[in-house]
Amino acid sequence: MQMQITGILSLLLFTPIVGAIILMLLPKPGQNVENDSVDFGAMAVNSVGIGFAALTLVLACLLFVGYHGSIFGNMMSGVGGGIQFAEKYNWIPMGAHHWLHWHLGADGFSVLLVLLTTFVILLSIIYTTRTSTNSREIIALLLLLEAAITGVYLALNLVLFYVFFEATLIPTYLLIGMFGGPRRAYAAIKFFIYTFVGSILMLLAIASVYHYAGSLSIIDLSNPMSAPYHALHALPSSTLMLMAGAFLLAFTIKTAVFPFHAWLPDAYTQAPVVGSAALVLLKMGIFGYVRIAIPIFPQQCITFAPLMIVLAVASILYGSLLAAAQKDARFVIAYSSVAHLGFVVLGIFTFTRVGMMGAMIQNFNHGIFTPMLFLGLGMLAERTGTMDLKELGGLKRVLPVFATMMLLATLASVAAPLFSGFVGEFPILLGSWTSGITHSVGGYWPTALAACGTILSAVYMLWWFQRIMLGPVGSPKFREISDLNTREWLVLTPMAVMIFWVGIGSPFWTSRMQSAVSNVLPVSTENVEQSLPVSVMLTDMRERTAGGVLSHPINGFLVTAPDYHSSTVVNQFMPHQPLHMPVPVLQRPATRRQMRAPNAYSGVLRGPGTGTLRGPTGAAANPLPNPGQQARQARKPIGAGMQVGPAPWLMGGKATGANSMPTGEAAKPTLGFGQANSGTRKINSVRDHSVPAPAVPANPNAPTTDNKSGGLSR
Amino acid sequence: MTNLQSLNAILPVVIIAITGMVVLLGESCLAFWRRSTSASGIVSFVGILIAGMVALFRLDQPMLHFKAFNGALAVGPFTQACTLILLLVSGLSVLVALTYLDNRGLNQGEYYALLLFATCGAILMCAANDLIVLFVSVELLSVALYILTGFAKTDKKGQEAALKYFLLGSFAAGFLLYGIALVFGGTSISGLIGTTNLTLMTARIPDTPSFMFMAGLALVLVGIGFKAALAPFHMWAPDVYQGAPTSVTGFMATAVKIGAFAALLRLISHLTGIAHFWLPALEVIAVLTMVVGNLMAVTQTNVKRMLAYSSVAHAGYLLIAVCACASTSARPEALQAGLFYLLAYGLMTMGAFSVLVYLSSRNHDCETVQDIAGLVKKEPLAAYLMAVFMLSLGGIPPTMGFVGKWLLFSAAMQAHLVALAVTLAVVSMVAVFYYLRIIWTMCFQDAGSDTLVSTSVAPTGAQVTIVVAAAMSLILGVLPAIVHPMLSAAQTLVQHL
Repeated sequence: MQMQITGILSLLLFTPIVGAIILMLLPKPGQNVENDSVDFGAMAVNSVGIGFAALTLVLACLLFVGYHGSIFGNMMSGVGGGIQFAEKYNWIPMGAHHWLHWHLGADGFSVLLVLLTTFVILLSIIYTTRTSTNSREIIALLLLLEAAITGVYLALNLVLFYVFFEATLIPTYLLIGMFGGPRRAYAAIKFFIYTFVGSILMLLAIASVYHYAGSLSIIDLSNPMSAPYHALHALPSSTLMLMAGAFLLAFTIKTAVFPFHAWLPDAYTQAPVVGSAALVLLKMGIFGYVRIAIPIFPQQCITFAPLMIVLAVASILYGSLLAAAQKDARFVIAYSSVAHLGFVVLGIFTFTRVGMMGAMIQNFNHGIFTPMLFLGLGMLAERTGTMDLKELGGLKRVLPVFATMMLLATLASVAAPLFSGFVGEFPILLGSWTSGITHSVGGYWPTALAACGTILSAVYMLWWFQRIMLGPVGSPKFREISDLNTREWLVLTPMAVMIFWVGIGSPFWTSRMQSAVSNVLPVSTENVEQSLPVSVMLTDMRERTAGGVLSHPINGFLVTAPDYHSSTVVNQFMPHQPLHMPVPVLQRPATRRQMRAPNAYSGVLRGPGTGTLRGPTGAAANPLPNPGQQARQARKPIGAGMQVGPAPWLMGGKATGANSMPTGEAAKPTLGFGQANSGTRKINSVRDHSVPAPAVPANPNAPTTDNKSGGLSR
Repeated sequence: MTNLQSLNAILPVVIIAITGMVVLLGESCLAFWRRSTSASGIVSFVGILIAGMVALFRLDQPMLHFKAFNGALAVGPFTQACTLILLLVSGLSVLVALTYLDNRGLNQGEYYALLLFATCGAILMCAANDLIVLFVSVELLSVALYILTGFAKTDKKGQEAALKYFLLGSFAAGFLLYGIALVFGGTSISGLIGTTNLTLMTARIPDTPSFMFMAGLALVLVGIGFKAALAPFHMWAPDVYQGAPTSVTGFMATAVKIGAFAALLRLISHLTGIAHFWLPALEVIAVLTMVVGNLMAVTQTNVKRMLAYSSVAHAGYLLIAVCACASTSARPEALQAGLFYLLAYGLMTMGAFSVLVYLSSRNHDCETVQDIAGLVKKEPLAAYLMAVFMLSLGGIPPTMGFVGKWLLFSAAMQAHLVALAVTLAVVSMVAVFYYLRIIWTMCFQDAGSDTLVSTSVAPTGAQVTIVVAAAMSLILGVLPAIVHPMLSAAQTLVQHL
């Protein structure tokens, strides 16, 4: 028996809101203070703000650590598999006993992004404590923004997602408009209207999804075996394209991909310093791609993918060139954001796992180093009073520590090895190189141009650093200024640590995303260019696995657990090892004898292109003479028409590719949580559009062993 | 049903009417009453409170579908729900008026008596199951409002607005009455004498109704459309809203619309059999109303006028719910959406007007954007709560306006009214612009010398209204399930016509 605690996600959401309300009830700091006396108002505001932000960060850390497999996560998880910590209540009455649900849950993407949000918001609040006049409002708005952003990452209902998606607009609008730079009102309204145009169309799409599919649950809608999914995909393709297009437009505007990027430079540069840092955290567009657009409309997204790749590459080049041409230090960072987000979008729409994983890490990185650069520029502006690159210069001599910190962030932005950017951009380029979709756009050119973007980033970022930090000191008055104080140390150091931690120890950060990536892109939907040598290598890997080779040559993957009776699919994916391409998917036969037989491992479980139903006993219904040929067919993308038959024993609540354990641990028989949990989210299994799923497991052997091997689920 | 039972069934209306008479008599006969500036207001508020309690307790009582006075009034859960919304709105109006009349030096008891009679009219509009009763209640509401509009006797703009409202309103009443007469004639088929009772009328409508019936129906729709300020019958709204005393404008913008839409929902629910006749017309009117209201609102610099056009636009949104009633499958959802949106609209509009009331002083009505520029520096709470109302009107989560808009979207899609849903989406983008401009003016601009501050020191009725409306907008935006009993009861309008 296990104890179940639910509500941590709601707690995480409402903690910052409570903090914001308490803050607004406090007296405004800076009033009624004698000249020399201590400003107790400011102290109260600062401590409440930092306290609630820190509490939220602690909760986010618990979520991150507890996700997938620890005792804590096991206690907290309501639903297993990709989604954990789920909670669901009735929320909006929809007529005739239908309800919209307050449905929250976290998967691998969510926990990382929630951690990122709470982390950066806490540091931003610590930074804000320097000012006394407006700090109360700014901190309250930051806390509200934190709640809204976190809500986007945790929502499992389309309307709830929309609610949080829109709710982020209000605090950002007020942050920019009330406390921003000289053109703040223009920037704020532009930002609001841009985003709103996209999202109101998304609301329309959500309403039509509800109308046609009868469900708003993201889990149901993205599960190819569910009734709502089938109802939705029975629609004419033009309707589906319109719906998918509305979602993609909303996310693309929010991500600020060229040509929808125009709000970004204005908003980033006109916002107050912490506002810029918080704007960088608006990663809902990226998250929307992987949480909503691709899982719910896979086929339509593949159709849109060439366009998205073109736009992404255009973003990279356009952002880079504009960044190089800017005269204002903040504009350089703003346009570099356009380029970095272009990389992220490129990685996602390659439809390769390596690209998507790289995109998600790069997304995380961008959320660390860009706020660091913005906060650093804020500290610089306090000291020098200017952001003009012509007036700045030579500051390394007067601010050595600060210069070092900025150099770290610059190198991360440039994607130098050992720094976090490299871990993100290299897999993205690799994924782009191997992707069939990228090739269909223009051969190797998109990848080559994107790689040029990396070079350009070195150009503009290093030049930026040089113009600020090196050379002769820009103005004599700069010699007077002092280096970082304690509060600023406290803000920049954690970010610098994160840059190195991601750059060197990325498995710690990526391990939780593996199952999520597998959910979004099962093997069968990967789209790898056939003519590349790497494609042959992948085929070889799959042939070996199909032919009964137990151990994976690279990561030493081995299934030897004697009590592994039922079919178990273990999916290993390590994007930080460049050669490690997706995804040998193993399925173990029941007996040793069968294990030795050819065809015993019935191949790529979640993508058997042959459509044959194979039982876990290894007795293939229609064994092919050459397993390699089968594997080759299996790798065809959805778009190629090789529809995938569902593996019916997957329905039994077990055995999907959602094991996120790091290398080497996968073979342990005590993996209970990962496997057992993963089965209940059927999205994991087969992404199949045409073949209706059998309602009951076709093979009775498999699901009966649920409780034996993974008995901790549910 | 005996008359006593019928009277019991409409007890809230009776209570309101009696309170109105008490206020009228007390004001004119009792000297001590006249000396107090707020006695009438307090008595009115208490009366509304009692009536509201009665309506609240009756909400889930088994006394469903009671046809009072020989079928002239339908007293079911739908009526009770509308009554509750109306009583909430007029209770808030009384509180606002307490402040406004004090600020402007207009303290007179008739105001409250007229307000209460108008409330009676609006509630009877929600209950009217007979077109003649509908006409009488519309007139009860309108006549009281004509006087209230010109209540500031020395204000020229108010006089102009009252005259304009009266003339155009009488014209519309003529349309309504003529339409009723034609409907009466159109329903006299096969030797039966005609009827204006909706229940009887439904039974008599043939598959292809006569031209006379359809013409009558069209004229009735024109009459109600005038009250609800649907385009192209909205011309009076901006002038009247701007000219009337702000507290009256708040009441007018909310109560009249609630009454008119409740009547329209009831009428249309009885006419679903011939939906193919009226649905295209209503769809065109809905699109027109939404587009005209929103486009005209963009250029306004007078906040009251902007809110007037915005209320025209919201009438268009509400018309989507009415159109969705045509589809049998979508009707429960459409009714829920309509009622929820009426409640949301009532709260946020009343809240926005009460902010203006709060800032008005004896010599100066707060109405232009200069009056509220940089308000956040001088009256931060009022500015932030005004921002809440603006966001709610714009349909931004987590406010009530968003939930209402979502329900409308969903109802429109359910009824296959894709064109209306798309229009709603498009005009919402335009709408956000002018609502945001108010926030922009209040929060981002610097306060000028024109910026108004509240002159009253003690907590006033307007402050209570602002806080209540804002709190409800936010709470019901996050937890809309609170009003679920009321909404689900309202669906029974569908089950038992």
